[in-house]
Amino acid sequence: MNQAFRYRILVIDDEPSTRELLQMSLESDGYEVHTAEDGLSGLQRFHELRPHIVVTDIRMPGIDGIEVLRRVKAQAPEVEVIVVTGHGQMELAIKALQLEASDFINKPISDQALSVALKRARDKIAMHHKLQNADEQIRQRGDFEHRLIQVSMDGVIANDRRGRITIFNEGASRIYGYSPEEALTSLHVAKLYPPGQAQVIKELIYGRQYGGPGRLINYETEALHRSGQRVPILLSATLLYERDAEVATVGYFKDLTELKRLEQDLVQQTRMGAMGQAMAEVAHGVKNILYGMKLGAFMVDKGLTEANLTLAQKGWPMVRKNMDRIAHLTLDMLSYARDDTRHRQPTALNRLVREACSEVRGRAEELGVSLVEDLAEGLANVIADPENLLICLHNLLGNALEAFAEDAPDKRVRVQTRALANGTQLLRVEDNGRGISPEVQAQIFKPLFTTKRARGTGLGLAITQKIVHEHGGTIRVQSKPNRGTAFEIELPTA
Amino acid sequence: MGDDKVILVIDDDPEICDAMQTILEEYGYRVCTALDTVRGRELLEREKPNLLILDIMMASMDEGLNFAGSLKKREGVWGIPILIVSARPPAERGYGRSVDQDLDWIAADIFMEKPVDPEELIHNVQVLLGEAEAVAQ
Repeated sequence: MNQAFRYRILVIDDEPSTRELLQMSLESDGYEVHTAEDGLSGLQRFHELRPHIVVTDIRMPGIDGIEVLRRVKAQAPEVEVIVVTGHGQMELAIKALQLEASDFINKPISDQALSVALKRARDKIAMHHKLQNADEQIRQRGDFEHRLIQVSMDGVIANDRRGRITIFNEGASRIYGYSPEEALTSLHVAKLYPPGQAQVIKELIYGRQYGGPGRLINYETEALHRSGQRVPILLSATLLYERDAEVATVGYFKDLTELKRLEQDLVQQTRMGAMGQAMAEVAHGVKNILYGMKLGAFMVDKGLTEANLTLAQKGWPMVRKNMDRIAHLTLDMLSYARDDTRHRQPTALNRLVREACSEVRGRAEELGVSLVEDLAEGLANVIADPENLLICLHNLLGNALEAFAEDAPDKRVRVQTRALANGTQLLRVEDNGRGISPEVQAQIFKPLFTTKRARGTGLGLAITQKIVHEHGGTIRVQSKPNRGTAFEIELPTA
Repeated sequence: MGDDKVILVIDDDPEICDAMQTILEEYGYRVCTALDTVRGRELLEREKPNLLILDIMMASMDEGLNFAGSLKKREGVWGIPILIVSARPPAERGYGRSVDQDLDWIAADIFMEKPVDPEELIHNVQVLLGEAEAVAQ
């Protein structure tokens, strides 16, 4: 027996001889033994002594052993009670066991039965201690986790299957404006989101789009603040299971208000920056045009002053041409700025291609370029604004016709239409001209970017791209220096 | 008037080249034009011009600046005065380049921002060719 620790035993028996016998026997085994002569004084002694083990006779006048057992267990469930029964008291013994007596021993008491009963009591006490320690550890860890949840910067909210809120931390309070007490007592989980959104989120948790099923990772949505205001949040959630049964949902809420504000500022800044840049580019383009105009006007002035008609005649077309350029630039800028999607109709792409090609054929011949149509038969209609698509075609064809070095031996431009397997239609304008360097390709769709100086407004491809995008299509360029360039537009069909 | 003076104009816009040629010829200069710096280099060797009027374009700004810089670093026919015309204001002329590099060529030259007034252009041409006094700016 462990000397460092002495078990305290209280013996309650109305028979002095039994008391003495037990006391002697137990003390010789190393226990600290106290005695009481009936139930009432036994319970008093119990309060004073707080023994680890109580050995009580079951039959006593007044408060009997069963009652002692009941009261001891009610007050101190960890105390082990051994009842001593006489002959023919099996029913009482069973009742005692039902009341959680650790054991019973029969009179006359044998040393062996006593020692077995005590060993069992000691084991139960030891086990109880262990459990208590474990409980304490779990409680401490629970406290730690609770604090962790409480101080988390993110909102943490858990709810049970019925939507009652079981965890609502300070972070959640900050986002929602409810105190944790309010939330835990009177808030339903559906009220955390704008109407209908809770159901959507629930379906997403069960679905697979955001890391599920059973999980939702980084879903951007809105929280409904206590005031009714909507707060942008990033939500992650997970279902908790216990023995395969779903018991709760935990959500982690990140407030995106500040982030959204920064994002908006950035967009605003970018927009302002882009606008400033665009204006600088427009000014740049206008300056080039004015330069030509001034040179022309200078010739006209000088020619008129000096009666040099030839000079004036040379100057005047420059003035006129540059006036036209300003007009073009202005129209192109308007057309780029305009958001016009009203005139869409089922449109045969091939018809537009033929129309555009016939319009530029004369110029192609002037420039010595052979223009080839390679059109697929039986194409479905595209839903498009024919006028706008014609603008695209003219821009691409115009660029292609100018893609050649003057002395290039074989100048070819090919326009192709095809139905693609993905249900879209392909329009391809291809030349075998100079090609475009990768640096220029990177800027080619940028408004006001031009390699053509005053001849181009720098808006043709920007407008083309804008129109294609408005039609739900895509545009891309492929080019190799000295091999040629191909622009490909894909448009959705009806 | 500089009957014997040759001016090289490099500008990627053929119409500007034509106009410059017409105007400068009106003032008695002989003018040759090039649409790019490769052709410009050839004419520089062959015609040994007394002045270069170079347009610095947005799309090929580096090309123009490098060309001007390379001329300034060399002796002989290469060391001619350069008049630069650009739609970019002078404050932005170093766009994408270091100040040191720019100083190589800009110090001795005249920079004109578009739209250039033709009379001023003529005056600057005369200054660079030593035919007129520079006007204090």
